[in-house]
Amino acid sequence: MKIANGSMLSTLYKKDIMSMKLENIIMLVGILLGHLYFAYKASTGWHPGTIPFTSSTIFSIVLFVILLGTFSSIRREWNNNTIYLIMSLPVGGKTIFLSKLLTILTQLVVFGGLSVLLGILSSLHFLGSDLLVEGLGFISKYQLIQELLKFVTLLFIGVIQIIFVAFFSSIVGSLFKRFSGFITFAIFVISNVIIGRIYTEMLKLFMHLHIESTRQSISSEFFLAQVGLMLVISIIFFFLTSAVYDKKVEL
Amino acid sequence: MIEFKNVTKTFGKTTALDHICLSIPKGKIIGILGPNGSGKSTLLKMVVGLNKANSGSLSIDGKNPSQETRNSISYLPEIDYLYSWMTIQQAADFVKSFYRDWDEAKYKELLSFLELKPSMVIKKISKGMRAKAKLLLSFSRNADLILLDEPLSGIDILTRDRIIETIIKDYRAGDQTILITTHEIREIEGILDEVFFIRNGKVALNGDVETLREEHGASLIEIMKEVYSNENSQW
Repeated sequence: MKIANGSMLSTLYKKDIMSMKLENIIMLVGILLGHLYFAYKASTGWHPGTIPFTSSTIFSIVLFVILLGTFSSIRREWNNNTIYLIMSLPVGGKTIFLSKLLTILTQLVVFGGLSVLLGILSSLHFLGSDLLVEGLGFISKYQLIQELLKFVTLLFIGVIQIIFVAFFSSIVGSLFKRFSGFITFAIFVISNVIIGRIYTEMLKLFMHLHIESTRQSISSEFFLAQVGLMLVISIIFFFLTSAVYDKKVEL
Repeated sequence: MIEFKNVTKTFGKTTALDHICLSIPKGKIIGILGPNGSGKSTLLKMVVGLNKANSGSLSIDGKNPSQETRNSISYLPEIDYLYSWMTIQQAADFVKSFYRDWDEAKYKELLSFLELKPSMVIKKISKGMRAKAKLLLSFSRNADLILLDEPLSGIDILTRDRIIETIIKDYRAGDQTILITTHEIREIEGILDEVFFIRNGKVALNGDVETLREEHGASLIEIMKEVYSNENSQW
């Protein structure tokens, strides 16, 4: 009898979370200190209007660090020779990459969420909700929340897609002994260019759905089309990555 | 039984295994012997599925190396492959989550036999201790097939003895197969049932250890010296 896949996934997930313990602590401290610093500056002289920008900068840095961590979570297995352990386990590529995805999504939800939450709280504190709604050109708080939710959903699925492209690039890069880093980078860029083109063509078909919308608002159909497309591309890259890992990766 | 049928494996221009044909019987301790670069480690890696053949076929009890066959294989590579930030207990918990054949009583017994402590952090212990930790994780399972790649490499003499004792301690003859690659035969000679001498990716000589000793009137070390004394000689 075989151990359940869910149990093996959970073990890999716990291991991946534990292996990023130090990076996670540094990121948490960085986010808290960053927001505290800018809040202090806004209360002692900086214009309060800078708060949404500084918060966005912190959030962008968090996303960038998480993305870099995506590449390193794969590379680290090779650099530390732990790939020998992983590849000798009775698990396939799908379980391994699902565990790595869950780990990175956990980081995204915790650190990205924390950074967005602190950004919103600081903006509300220094600017007030009415000024924020008016400044961003929305009709009501309800519309602001609605659009914010759509934006967060698109961002979340977009990040999942980038994570899978990063996994795919790293795995293809690992097939080469020489110029592995360069190949990883090139595959990542090329894949994103191709995805960009697919989006441009596919979204043209849905553009009429968007024209009826207001300047700030994304129509529901247009939003669903974007979400659907991103999910399909993410799933394709997930299966491609797992297939390359299972069939082509050697040590 | 593990069967290599005309298997070739190349890495760029280097041929690691060259149309190799061999049948490894079940339930014995088998030595895969040969100098560095002869193809011993590649042979083991292919059994686990870490390397794939360019041509030919390999089967383990009639099945191709896969996720399924890895369920019954315990593989110990030569390099340090454990997560260095883990304690021995964390590494054991990690490994046991993947295998039904993990034997907790055996783990505890081996822990004490190898003089290891569960709280030891892998990156903070000596090379000999790390070798013992790897062995602990491999032998705490009742795996049908145990693959040991150079288990004695770079290990001091006292630790070597302990490692060999561990290998034979709970060995189930007739039921369990242990494949050991090494170029250090002296220590391992006494526990081997059969040997395969690998040279330039081919089997140069193989057979039952006792029979070989009788036929050649020499120890395995002397037979090995003969096999490798002339790289161009044919056996």
